[in-house]
Amino acid sequence: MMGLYVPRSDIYRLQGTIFQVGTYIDEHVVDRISSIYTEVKKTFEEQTSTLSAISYSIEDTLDYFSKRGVKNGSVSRVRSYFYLYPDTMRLSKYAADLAIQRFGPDSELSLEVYQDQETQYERLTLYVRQHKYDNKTMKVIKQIRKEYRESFAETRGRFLLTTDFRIPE
Amino acid sequence: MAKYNNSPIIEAVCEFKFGKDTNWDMTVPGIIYNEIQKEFPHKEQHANQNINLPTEDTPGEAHINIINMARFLSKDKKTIIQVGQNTLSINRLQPYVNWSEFSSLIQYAFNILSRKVVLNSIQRVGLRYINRIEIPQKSVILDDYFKFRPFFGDELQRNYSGFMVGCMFPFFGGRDSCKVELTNVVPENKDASAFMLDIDYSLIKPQGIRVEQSLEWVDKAHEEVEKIFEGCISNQLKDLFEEVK
Repeated sequence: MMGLYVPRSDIYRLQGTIFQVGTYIDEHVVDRISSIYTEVKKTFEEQTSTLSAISYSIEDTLDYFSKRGVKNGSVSRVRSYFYLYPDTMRLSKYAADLAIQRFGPDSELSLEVYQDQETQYERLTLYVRQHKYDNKTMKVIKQIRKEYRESFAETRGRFLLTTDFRIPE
Repeated sequence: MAKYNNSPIIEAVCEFKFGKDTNWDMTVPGIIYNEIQKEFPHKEQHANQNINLPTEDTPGEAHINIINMARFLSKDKKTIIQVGQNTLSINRLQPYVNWSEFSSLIQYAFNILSRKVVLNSIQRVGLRYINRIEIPQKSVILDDYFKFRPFFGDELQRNYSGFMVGCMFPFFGGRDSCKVELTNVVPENKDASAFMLDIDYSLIKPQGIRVEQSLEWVDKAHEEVEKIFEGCISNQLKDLFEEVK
């Protein structure tokens, strides 16, 4: 989580917390007040940012995966996919968070753009790799799929959480 | 800013937010699409969520707004016109050609909107340039490439795993403001380092200009953005971009 600049020329008092002009709230403080932080950040961003930009959230999403140790088969292809289907950013982050939570730190996640050479069919794919595979692996994957499909039913791009049964590198 | 062969601009955006007194209704995106569909044949819809919180300045109830944005894309999907409640934005993705071309596009979209909708006041205008800079070195001495950079002092190590620096510069007595941010991002090449230099110049004083001054404001904003960009980077980085002499 990044820190936050308080840029406006006055004092904000929200939920008992005072944010002083020009101060930098560092990430440790931000962690403690993360819920307030999120709200304040959005409010400030609305006033100080040109929010219609698309690229910032794409770079931010790539960084999000990198910080969580998710491998990226080809950064440029994943980026291009996000430009075409921005909806898949939230979906893939949601699915990655669930996968990290359910499969634990020993598993490996890899985000790639799968392409069928003959049909030109493209799909953003998050692969889960484990040291040992059993029936439970697919069960957990299917459960996560169900959850993200329910939460992101209207997403335009294609996304799939799956496994290629490879061993983590 | 596009006087480089390897321009780092990945996106240029110009966004107008009009006052609540603007005569806007649900039919506006459709009306605009009718006018531009030849050049912008693809259409999409996106929902942006904004949370409004009461402050000492702006008391009231906290509420969440869902803003539906109609997105009209050019044939190559690199140029986008977005229309939402009281909002018009023009985005140009990589490759960005030059200001003259982008400026014409802004004028085109703005003029169509102002012919179709009575625009009474301007709430905010933003001109934002997002630059993605990839340097073919795994470890980079920031001082070599950036004049705008984090300062580590004498006692901290130069080795970092991530950083973000930001600053807001006031212009025209605080009527305008420019937010400049530099942060590291994920490189495309594993043996490279990548950075995002985000320059977001905006009119922050609501109704600080009249509607008819909007395009003139955008021109002036671009001049300032260009100066800021040049002020952020070193000659070594300019060499990497291959300046067109």
